[in-house]
Amino acid sequence: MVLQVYKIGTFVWVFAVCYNRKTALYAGTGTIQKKIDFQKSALIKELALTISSAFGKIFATTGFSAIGPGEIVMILIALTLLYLAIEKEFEPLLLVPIGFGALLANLPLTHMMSGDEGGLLYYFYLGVRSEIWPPLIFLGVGALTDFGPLLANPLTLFLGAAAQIGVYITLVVAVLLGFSLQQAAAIGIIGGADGPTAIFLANKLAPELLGPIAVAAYSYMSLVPIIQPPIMKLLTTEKERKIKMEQLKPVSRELKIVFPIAVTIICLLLLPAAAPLIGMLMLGNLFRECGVTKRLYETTETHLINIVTILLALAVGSSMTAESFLTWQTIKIIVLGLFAFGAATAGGLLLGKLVMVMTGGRVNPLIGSAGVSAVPMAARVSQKVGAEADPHNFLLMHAMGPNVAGVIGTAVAAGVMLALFGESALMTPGHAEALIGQGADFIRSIFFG
Amino acid sequence: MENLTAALVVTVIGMSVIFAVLAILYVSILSLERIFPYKAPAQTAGDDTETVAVIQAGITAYLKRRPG
Repeated sequence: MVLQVYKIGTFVWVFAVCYNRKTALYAGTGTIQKKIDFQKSALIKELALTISSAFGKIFATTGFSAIGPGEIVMILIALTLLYLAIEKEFEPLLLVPIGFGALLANLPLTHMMSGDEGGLLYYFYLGVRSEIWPPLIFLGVGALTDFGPLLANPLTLFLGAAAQIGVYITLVVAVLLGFSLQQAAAIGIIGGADGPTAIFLANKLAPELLGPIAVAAYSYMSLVPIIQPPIMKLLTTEKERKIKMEQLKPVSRELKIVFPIAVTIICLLLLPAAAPLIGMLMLGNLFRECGVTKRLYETTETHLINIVTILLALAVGSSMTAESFLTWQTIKIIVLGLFAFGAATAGGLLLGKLVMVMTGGRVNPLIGSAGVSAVPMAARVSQKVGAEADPHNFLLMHAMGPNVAGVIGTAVAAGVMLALFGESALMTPGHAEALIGQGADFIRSIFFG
Repeated sequence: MENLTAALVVTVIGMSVIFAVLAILYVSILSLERIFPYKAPAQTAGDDTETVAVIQAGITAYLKRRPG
């Protein structure tokens, strides 16, 4: 076989040599030779043009042809988020998919966010836009939450409420910085330290700010152990931090079962706008406590919340495009987010101090800072700061009360924002006076029916 | 300025509503606590020292009588 191929090859070579000589004989004159040379060079030029045009076409289909400075900056931001998540372990379960989503969305010509091109991330984002993912996350959060410490010491509910002051102070500051009322409300909710709620509200009130708000909320949640302790130490004395609290009383199983049902009925009759968040939170908790839905509880607290976290975080990351993220507004939101966290921590602590005075020193004010949600990290910070003052001080379970109360408080705050700024848009400029009357009516209706 | 006024009004209304809702929840929890009070689990044989002593004595006696 090899021999045959060799013979055929030799024959072809001999034929080519003979043909060239014959051509040379025929082209004996210089003019003909020039013509041939000219034809050859034209052919080469044409070939070079074809090749360069082909390469040009190939280059035009690559991302390099369409990448701009904005995309490069966003890719660097995405890589920074991935670095912080992987190397520094800042909320890695969220920042890894958020960072990767941002990376995918900013690589040009991938069309990952294009609805017309059938982009994958576009369909993930529909889950955010149609308000499916955040309530499903809340379902998982409910299944993971033990309301026992709150039920054992219901007074801690008010610490969760007080921490929401951070949301509203930030709203006022955001308005002063030039944001619209709807945008300011969406930014203020960062102070609630509750990612799904922040995304839910941002999508409803200011979808154009979804990316920066989500990134600020999740970044600061991971920085709670750094942000909170200085404020806690500033607002409390050494003596106050050393206060030991009595052991929590046990709670009946029946109370734990009835609680999520009661919260759903009470809160949603008062604030129907908060139904997706509070409804799902309490359903998840009912799965946990009722004892007859073990499979649903196990699925909700593990697989479901993990799957939805991937979809939600990728969708949020994909919303971080250069044109929507690289603005002055983003920088303002990042600063306002930090301010919101600080104000919420201070609000919880100050009411904690008031409760301490009212109870004759039986409540450690440090548990007030856990009212900012961020379950369970804020409660751990209360424990840590308390233990620094007195190593025998165990505040963790006491701090879990305001911590879970903060989740309910933030959901209620979101419900209030939606009632005021949602589709009915009561708070458009010029309607403040009308709103005062409506607000007064609303409060009257709560207390006097 | 109008926006600022509106933001301040929202702050007052928002915090009032949150405290009102959570106050209602507080009262509800206190009421539910009365309806569903915590009951310590009933004593089992394992908690009864007399029963435990009788069973232990019985086991010891059986082991002594057991051949081999």
